[in-house]
Amino acid sequence: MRSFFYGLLLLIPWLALIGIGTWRIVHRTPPAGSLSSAESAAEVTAAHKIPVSWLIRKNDLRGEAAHAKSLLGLYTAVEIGEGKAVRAQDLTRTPKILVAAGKVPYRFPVDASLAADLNARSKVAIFEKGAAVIPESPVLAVECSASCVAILELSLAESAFLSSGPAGLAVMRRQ
Amino acid sequence: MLSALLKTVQEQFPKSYWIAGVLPMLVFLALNGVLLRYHSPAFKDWLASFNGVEEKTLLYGSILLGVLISAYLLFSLSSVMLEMIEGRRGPLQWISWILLPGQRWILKGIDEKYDEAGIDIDKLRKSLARWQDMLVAARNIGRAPFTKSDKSKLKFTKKVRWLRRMGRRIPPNELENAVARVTQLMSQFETKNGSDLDCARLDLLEMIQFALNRAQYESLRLYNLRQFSFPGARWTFPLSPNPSSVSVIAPTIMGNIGRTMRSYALTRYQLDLDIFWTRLLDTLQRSALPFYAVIQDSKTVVDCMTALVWLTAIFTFTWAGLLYWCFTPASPLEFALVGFGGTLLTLIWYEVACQGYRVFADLIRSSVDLYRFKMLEAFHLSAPLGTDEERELWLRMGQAMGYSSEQTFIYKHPSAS
Repeated sequence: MRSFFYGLLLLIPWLALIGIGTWRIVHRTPPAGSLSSAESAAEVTAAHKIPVSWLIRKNDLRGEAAHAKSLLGLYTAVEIGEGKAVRAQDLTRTPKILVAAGKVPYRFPVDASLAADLNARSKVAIFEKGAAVIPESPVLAVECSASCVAILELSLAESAFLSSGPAGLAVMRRQ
Repeated sequence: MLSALLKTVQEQFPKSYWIAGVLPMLVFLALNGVLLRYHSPAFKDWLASFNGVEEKTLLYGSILLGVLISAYLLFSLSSVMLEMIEGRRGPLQWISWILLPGQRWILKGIDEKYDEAGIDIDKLRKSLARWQDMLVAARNIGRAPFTKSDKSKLKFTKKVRWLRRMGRRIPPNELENAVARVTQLMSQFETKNGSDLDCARLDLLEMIQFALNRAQYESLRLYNLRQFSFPGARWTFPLSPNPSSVSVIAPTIMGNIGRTMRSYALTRYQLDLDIFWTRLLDTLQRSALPFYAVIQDSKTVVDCMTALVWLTAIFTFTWAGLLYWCFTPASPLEFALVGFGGTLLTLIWYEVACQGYRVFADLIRSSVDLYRFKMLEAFHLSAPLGTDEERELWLRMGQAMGYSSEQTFIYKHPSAS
């Protein structure tokens, strides 16, 4: 019994670290859909202190279709035609930026002006349902509707614009 | 082709290599591979880059070769890992200043309980006859009938009855009180055969016997636990002017179990296993092959569990860090599972390793008991006539072989006998 208690005593710091780590991971995950559409992405970003590394990384979207789908959930761009811009009527509900750095997509609301700005500046790459997502440059995924995701391929200049722009979003290019 | 290669490899390596080397390494690499594939797109892309049968064969062949080589390295390091888990080197030795007080505390706990059991035995032995006489003699004193309403007067026996039912220690003072009160009742009320009072009296007699038996059992159990879990014996007063190296405890449970082997052989026969271990091993290989095989199997279990302890600890530590810092955002459940689950698994392996090491240590002690005279034959020395001569002989041999002390021996060659 004493050896059990002494072992437990020695492990308390380590178990506490794991506990704190779990707690922090839980609390740094913004709950999807809990934010009102009135909040701008900048506010959301600031409120949640999103680290740069959390935003889209190019290589996270590279790979086979199943992997891309696992990154982006089940959202696929099927409603918008190739080469077309995302129109206001396509945004059937609050558009959100999908931050796909990792397995679970994090969703943050985007106000309409930012979406329009992105459309004006970015080439929208459309993917068929189940198609491989292999972007060649940094990307930003914008959720347009329940079944639609627009993957915006961004140039370096656009990345810089987004990083320093009104939205205050950082788009990271993996080194 | 692969099965033929595996068969060839299997024939080349002993069973212990597969159990203590390949098995833990395979589990370790497989778990790492699964998590890497799940979290690292680069690793996944690299795996996916192998297309076609030839490339995949090359990949699987390389993985197999990698597993076999790393398993061999792990197997070669088994004695180092055992020393590390014993606290003789590495991280556990660095924190031995934290671990040693714990081992002393555990040992003190065993000693205290052993003392308690000894005191109980003394008290119970002293009181046994008196209590028995009281419970027999008082039977004829009481005259008033013991009715159902008087049954509540026996409530005081509830605690001792519960202790008896649970098989726990019954303190002698509790028995003393119970005997005194039952005797008092017996002196007032008639104790008919089969009455509640008579049953309480008989129960109490049985409890007294149980308390004595249990104290004896506990005393022996604790003595064995102490001598097979910790080296040496308790210090006694007056202090001995002759220094002894057997009572120094190690920082870990495994280390202390390891030290019991040397301690046992030294205290019983003055045979120092640090010096004679390899000689004894040779004797076992020559004279007791089946017993040697049992020892080897036991050692394989210890090596396997030791490897699992270290590999699981490395896996837990590394992946907790990677999931937190590198592969963000990890799911909290996954992080907790790796952190808590890995720690729990490490502890389970460690406990199993300790049990395995206890069995191994017991086998080694038995081999000392059974085959030490065979070892003397290998040295071409006559068997001693008695225990004192034997202790003297092993002591002198140890000094001669281990510390180059000049000693004189008379040989007994097989041809001369």
